[in-house]
Amino acid sequence: MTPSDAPEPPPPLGSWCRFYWLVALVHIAVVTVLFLVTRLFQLPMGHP
Amino acid sequence: MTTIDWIVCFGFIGYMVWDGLKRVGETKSLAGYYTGNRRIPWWAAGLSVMGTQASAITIIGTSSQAHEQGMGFVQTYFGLPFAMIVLSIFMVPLYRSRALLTAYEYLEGRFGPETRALASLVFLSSRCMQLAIALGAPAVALSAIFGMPTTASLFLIGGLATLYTMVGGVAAAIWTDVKQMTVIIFGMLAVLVILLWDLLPHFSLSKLLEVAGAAGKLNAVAVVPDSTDFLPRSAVAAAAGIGLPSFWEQKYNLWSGLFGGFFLHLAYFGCDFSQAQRILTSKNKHDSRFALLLSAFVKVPMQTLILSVGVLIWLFYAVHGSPMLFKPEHLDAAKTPQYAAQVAAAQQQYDAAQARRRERMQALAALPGGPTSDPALLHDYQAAVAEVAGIRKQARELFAVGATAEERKSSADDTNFVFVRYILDNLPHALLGLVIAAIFAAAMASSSAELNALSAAAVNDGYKRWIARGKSEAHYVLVGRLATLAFGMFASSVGMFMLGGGSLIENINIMGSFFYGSLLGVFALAMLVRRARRWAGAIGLVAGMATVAVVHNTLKIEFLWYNVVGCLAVLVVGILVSCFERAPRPSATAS
Repeated sequence: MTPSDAPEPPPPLGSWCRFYWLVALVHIAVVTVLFLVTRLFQLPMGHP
Repeated sequence: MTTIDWIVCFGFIGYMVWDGLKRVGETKSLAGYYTGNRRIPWWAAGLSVMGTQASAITIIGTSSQAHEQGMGFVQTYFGLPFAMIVLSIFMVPLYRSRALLTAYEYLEGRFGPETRALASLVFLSSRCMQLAIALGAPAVALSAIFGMPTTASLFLIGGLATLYTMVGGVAAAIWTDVKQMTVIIFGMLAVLVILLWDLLPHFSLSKLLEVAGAAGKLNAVAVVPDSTDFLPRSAVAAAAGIGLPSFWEQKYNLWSGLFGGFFLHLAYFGCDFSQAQRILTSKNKHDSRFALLLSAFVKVPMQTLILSVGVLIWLFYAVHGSPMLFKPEHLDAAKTPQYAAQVAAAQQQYDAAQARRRERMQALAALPGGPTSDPALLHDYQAAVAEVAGIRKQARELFAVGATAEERKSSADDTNFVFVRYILDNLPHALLGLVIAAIFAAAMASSSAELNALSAAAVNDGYKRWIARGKSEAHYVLVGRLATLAFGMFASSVGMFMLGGGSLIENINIMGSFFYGSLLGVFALAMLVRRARRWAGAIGLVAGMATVAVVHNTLKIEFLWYNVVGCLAVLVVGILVSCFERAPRPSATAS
């Protein structure tokens, strides 16, 4: 291995870029569903 | 446990050990022993990523935590998919562009041998202690439940994991992880179905959610933080109860999960070699990315499943009546003359409070307009929920022993016994054996991946780099096997002293957070700061850990934020050092 003080730039993403967006969007959808389902039923403790 | 349960349990454990041992043919070289000759399919590496993270703690600790505190813990994983994407973009090409055997080899090429050695030592010490917790805590819980000596349980788990990892290397660790994950998912789904099968005749699904939500158990996403005061309190003020909690003191909310969790998982999967090793085992960088991204899809749903099981166990006990004490040592102490009268009085109060809770729960579920249509009843129900929890807490504290407040709190805590108690009392035969086997197998499988990673770092970053260069592959593999044995014995022995209560999974994450942010910081420094040279990495790493230690001792901040603090501290100090650094670039030293 050759030491270097220059970090290497990541290679081009190509079609992976679309897949990363898919991962992010699926995750956001899962969290949103979780939020909506639990939000419907969760009540703060000490409800007046 | 009946005979059929024991047969299923030991049959599965035996199968796992045999499956690990038979991988010996793939371990003739260092690349075979530590990277599986880079021929592991992406889905197996991906399941292994989850299996290594899961461990027995996930089953016992997470579900029990949901029983006590609700589902808020799931927010820890909200930053995970974003971390996996960043790792796929930056770390996978970096690790796969060279024939690395450990992640820390890269740091030598970038900064020099000091930073590699230091990062590897940080990994070895922190991971070793976490391994001891991962072995010790479930061993104690299981031995207490089954009435077997702690040492027997500990060395059964630690000894068998060490044996097959020593022989089969990383391939054994990965393929046993695959089986462990399959059984965990199947087992938890089966427990979920059994709980619903029991509860649905009493309440419809929406009514179950209503009564759980009214009891504060469905706190899965806390968007609005409890406090918007961003000035952290000092640790002294917090201990004395002076001032109000700041934003940084809420353990789980959307923001700590997204930002703190992002840094935690970036560091854990990218810089902790027990996970980063998976990136090196796939066939190519595309497979490595798929292996990482599998967790991004599956982790949050899986944790939601396990936490849901915990909430359903709470509902099950709310409907059928819950034991007041779960921990075997509490149950034993309750029978002694010293405590018998106090426990009997507490039990009487507890039974009455449970009856009130059940009655109000049924009345609440019968409301056609939902719990908020009768605020007075809702208030009474929540008061009954709090009363039951309060009496149970007081009863546990009767037996609290220890010199310090922390020891007494630990002694009174029975979080990790709830799930095991439920399955022992309620699961059908054979399935109980399989779930118990899954708990043992999970402890062994995650330990085995960590053992192989510890051995890899010790041999490649330590022995081969500093002590014995130029030896044969067979020699290094032999040393690797011996290192695995040594780490296994050490962690099993130290595990004997890691018997504290509290939430196991939190303890592991808290310990990791002391180091992970700094490790991440040094990798970020290497990749992002062009001018950083020899000493910037090493000094930055030390400064990052020191900063986290200072913050921990002076400010009241929850552990997820330590990862952000450590990472930023390394970057700031590393950049400052690099401004003054005039040393020549390190010579080529990596092997």
